Amino acid sequence: MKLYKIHFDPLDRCGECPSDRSLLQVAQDLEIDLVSLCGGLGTCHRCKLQVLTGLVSPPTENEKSTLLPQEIKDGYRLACQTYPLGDCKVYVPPESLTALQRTQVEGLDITVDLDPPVHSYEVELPSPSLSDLRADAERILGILYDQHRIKCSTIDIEALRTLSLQIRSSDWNIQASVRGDEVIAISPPSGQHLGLAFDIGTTKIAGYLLDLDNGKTLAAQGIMNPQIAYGEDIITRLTYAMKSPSAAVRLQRLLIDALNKLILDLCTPIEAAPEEILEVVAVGNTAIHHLLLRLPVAQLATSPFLPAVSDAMDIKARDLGLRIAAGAYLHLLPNIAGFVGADHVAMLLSTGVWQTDGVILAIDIGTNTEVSLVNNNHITCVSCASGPAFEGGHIKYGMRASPGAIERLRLTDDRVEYQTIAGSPPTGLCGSGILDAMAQLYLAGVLNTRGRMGNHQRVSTSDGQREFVIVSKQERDGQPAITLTQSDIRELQLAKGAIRTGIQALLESEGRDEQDIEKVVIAGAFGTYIDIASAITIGMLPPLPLDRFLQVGNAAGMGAKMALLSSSKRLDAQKIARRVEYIELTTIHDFNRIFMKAISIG
Amino acid sequence: MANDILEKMKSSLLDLDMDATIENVNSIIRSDGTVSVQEAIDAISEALQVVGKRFQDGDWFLTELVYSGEIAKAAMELLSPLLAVGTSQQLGTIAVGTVAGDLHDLGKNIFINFARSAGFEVIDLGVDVAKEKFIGAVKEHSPLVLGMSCLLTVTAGEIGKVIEELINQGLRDKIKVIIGGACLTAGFAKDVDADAFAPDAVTGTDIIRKWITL
Repeated sequence: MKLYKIHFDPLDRCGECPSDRSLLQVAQDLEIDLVSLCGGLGTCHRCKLQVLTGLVSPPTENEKSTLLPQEIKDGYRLACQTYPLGDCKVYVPPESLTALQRTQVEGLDITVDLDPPVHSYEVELPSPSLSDLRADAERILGILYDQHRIKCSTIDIEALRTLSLQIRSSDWNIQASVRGDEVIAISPPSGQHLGLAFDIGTTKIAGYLLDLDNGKTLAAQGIMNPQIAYGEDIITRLTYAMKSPSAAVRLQRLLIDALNKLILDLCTPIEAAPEEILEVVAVGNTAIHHLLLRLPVAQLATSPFLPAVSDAMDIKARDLGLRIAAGAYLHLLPNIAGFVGADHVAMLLSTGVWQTDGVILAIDIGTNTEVSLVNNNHITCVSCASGPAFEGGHIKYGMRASPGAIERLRLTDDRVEYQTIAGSPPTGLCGSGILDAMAQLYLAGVLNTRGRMGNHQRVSTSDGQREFVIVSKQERDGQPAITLTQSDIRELQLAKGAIRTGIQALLESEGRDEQDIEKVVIAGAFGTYIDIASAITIGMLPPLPLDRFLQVGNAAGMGAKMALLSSSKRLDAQKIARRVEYIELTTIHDFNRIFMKAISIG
Repeated sequence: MANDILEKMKSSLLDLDMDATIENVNSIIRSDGTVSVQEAIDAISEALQVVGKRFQDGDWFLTELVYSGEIAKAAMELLSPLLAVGTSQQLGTIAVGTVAGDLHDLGKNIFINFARSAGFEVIDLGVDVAKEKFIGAVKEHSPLVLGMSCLLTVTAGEIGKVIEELINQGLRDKIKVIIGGACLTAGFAKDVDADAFAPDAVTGTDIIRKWITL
């Protein structure tokens, strides 16, 4: 049988395929994780891809009835129904990939006019002589002006400590990195100029290493926030920090150690040196911000929830123990108010919604969820304690998005069809899978609107409570069944209810109806991978046409990167923080009524 | 006949049907003593016990707890004024509030509805209640029970402070203290020397009822 070459974009993977194997099968051979709930029967319509060039089998009746005419015209097909008739090039849209591979292909680069606060200049120093007795520092400052017309008044003390040796060992040719009127680093002439952006979440930390000269992202990595050991939610962590000064030091230390480790993880693979990092930007919610800087938190944790500081800050990174260029600064974007911090500012910044006309909802879903309503330039925001349920926490078989996590799920009669991350045997449910499961149980009538689990072939009772069997003991070769319990449903009702309460509260306070919302921007790792239709089904999001929703990924991280590369974006961030009006959710009129309605399903 | 209408009222409450419950209460009132007001109040109390059981079993959730409490409250507002003076079955006065720094009142309000329906007179001190306000209320009203609610771990410490102040002012042995809220545990109650921890509104009401009737 003839073999055809199939090339998969944008993953850039290539393989050979005989004409009796479907594109789904060849993708699986190449370890491309296409979503396929039905296992290739053509019923789940998830393994959509676009044939760019080459001949393939004609669309089946099944495909004609499920794909839009325009999609068919554009070459969109279901991979499991398509067989090659020649060499092909196909494009895999992100939504057809499972979570892990989606992060790999998501655009890492941002478009922003380069205008970083740190600039580096090559300086050729004249050798000293008895007729030129200027000190090394003054010599550098003078020549910087002579050769580049850059006026600096100081050199960082740590840079001063190494400078004399450095200029002599590099034969009087150096690079001076300048921030404002300060020389923050002296380095050999060939060095790179790197910057670092951190998005520090309650649960996860994302780090990005960028080239300040061209704005390119050189490396991206995520790690867990180790403070979790002292509380999954931010309130518990603040309570711990309030116990004693040494407790606050411990929380800060844990975070700094993690950031230093992340810095090494980012630098090592690309053979960069941490000392080449000349600037850091960090964003996080107000509580994380305060724990990082070890600011007082007692007044933040209790009503009326006042931060110690809200404005943007520049501090020497070494003051926190960050191991990068000794003179480098850490820039913290401003906080808004209450727990709504710089991460939300960064999200509003990177998505641009703060400058948009119309009615737009911007949601960053996490352990703490921030919601903003842009109402024709008037922006209000709330913070909702949505908790860790959608990160897999407090859910019996909940887990983080890693191989083996069920990330998509569908219920047909008494059968459960599911997709795990990386196609591994199922070990639990991650956020998007949990959300799908709840929606499917509701649609099948297993859950009523109040969240009570009714009867179904797959519902059984264990430890005195009802549970729905997703993967049975038999299907797992004797390992315990993966289930969703009645208490899980209650946790999820509270979590999704908190988010919906935030949305409704903002709409009511602005006198807007849900139908007025023109666009819903959803950020955050969980928000990126959820099935919007499921989120609407359970009532986490308002029932709007699907085309009004936009899933933007880690928008807070993108905002941090923008602020790293652009001083004018930092000014924008300050404008945002001043413009956004914070509303304390619990003080909203009728909060309890809104919350009660929001925890119902549907 | 008398039992029929009481059962009807109970089941309408357990169906969470506000209108039907009010209608049933009104027909009891119109029955001219065939069913006494006290019997009706007792029936509401019984229905709320069922609510509590369903909640503890996981069959019902917050929404049902809130709605049933609201219905019971509306029914009690019709019935209480009709209790003949002197025969009042008012079990006693309790004072309840959410501690300083905390603005959550959902749980507190459910508890208040349940306690009122059980026949207690409840003084609602509101949210973000300062230590001084709790102490002032104890001095002014001499309640049998002081209830403190708290959702946030970070404000839980307030409970201990209020109890300490009760001790300092020589008020502690004149009053029972019950605490409740998502961040609390029975162990915490012991640590701060409270008399009881209520995991939910129904259990809380049961506990204070037992205190009073002992």
